[in-house]
Amino acid sequence: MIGIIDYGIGNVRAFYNIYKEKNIDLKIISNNEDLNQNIKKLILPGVGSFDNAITLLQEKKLFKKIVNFAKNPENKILGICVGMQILALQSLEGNLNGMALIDGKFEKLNNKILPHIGWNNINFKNKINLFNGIDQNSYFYFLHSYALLNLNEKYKVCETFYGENFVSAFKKDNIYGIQFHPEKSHLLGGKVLLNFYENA
Amino acid sequence: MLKNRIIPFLLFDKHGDCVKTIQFQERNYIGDILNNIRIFNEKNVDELAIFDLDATNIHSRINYDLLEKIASISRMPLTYGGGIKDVDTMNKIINLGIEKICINTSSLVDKDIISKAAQKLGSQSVSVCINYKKIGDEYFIVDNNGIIVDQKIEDYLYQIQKKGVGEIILNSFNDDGKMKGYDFNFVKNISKLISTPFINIGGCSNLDDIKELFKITPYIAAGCSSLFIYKGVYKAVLINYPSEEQKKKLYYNQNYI
Repeated sequence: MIGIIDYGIGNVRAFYNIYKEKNIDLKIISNNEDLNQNIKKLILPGVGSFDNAITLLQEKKLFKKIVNFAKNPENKILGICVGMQILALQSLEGNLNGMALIDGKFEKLNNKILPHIGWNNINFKNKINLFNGIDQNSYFYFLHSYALLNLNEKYKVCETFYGENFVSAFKKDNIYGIQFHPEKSHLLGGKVLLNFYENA
Repeated sequence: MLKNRIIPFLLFDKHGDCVKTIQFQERNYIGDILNNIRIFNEKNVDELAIFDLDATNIHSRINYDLLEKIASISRMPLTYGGGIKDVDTMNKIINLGIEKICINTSSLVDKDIISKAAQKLGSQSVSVCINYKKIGDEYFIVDNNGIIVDQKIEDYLYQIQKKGVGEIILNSFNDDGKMKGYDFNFVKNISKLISTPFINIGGCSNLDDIKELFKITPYIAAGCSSLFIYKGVYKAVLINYPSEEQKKKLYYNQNYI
């Protein structure tokens, strides 16, 4: 079963509706008991600031529970935007520590105009099943100022350019992260979410 | 490469009905907002901005139920404005699934709301709308009723950017609902003072206006209201939006794929 973390930030309803249209039941997880053994795939969404997101997860006692979930190689986790950042070691936006499920820290993008807002294209480094049916240079919606600039090449799925190249999606074993918002990226975004359910 | 955005602006009233104004006054009814959003969903819109014209009124309140419905059906990123006075309210709306919140701080005593919001929500979710009015050769900031606010545009821009605003919406009072073209000179001059993405709205009459606006900088977005709501000389209500093919011709940099 696929679940989504509802910790007060992020567009949980939009995800729910996208899956519902495909007759897929997305379980909304709003406390640590909801995250039970039936859940095999988990979406960690996020809008807002890094520290605020982590604080909310800790308050709901979900932070450690998610880390444990991700440490089971049979489970799959997909972090989106701030959710992706939380999977890493840290973000220079905040002072708290991330989940350290992937090596790397988020830094402020080097571009004269920030935040990075709008539709930008992805450039595949290692294409994976999450992007089945999605062409090179497809456009997705971004809304952020901090990004993952350095990462082991083998974990990079795609990069995007905004003043400099940053990692717009990564995969390390069962850990997935995407910087753009699939729930707000029309049909192609829906395809990524469906791929996570069917092919990841 | 980042693309310029084309953003329909929808105004709605306390009944949840969409309306269109001329110079911030005189409302025309243009249909149910949820219905209009469903139509924009089908048209692969870059982003949508929605404003509650009545929420600022002291006798009115923010319609959270409606915003929740809007957020759950919308397949495109949303900006909401109207009646925002504190960070908790902004947070609550973000949690409903709306990406960006727009405040019009010219009418607020506490301008620190921007820095507080940027800290809690992240700059990317904090927009500020500036209504500008041309009188003679000079430009002034005005409130939602068109009354001049004692604040120079240049100083105001400097202040809000220092406080961490993520996006700036420039809203032309003179051009609202007129469909006579954007105020390109104003935008060109003011763009030099802005280091965030920004949107200009007011006066767009056709796709050529958008093309002209995009020449100024890749970081500008075209806000349009009447153009995407009305069709023909008699202004029949018909929700419309340029196709992918039409959009490609509007970008100044032709390297988009």
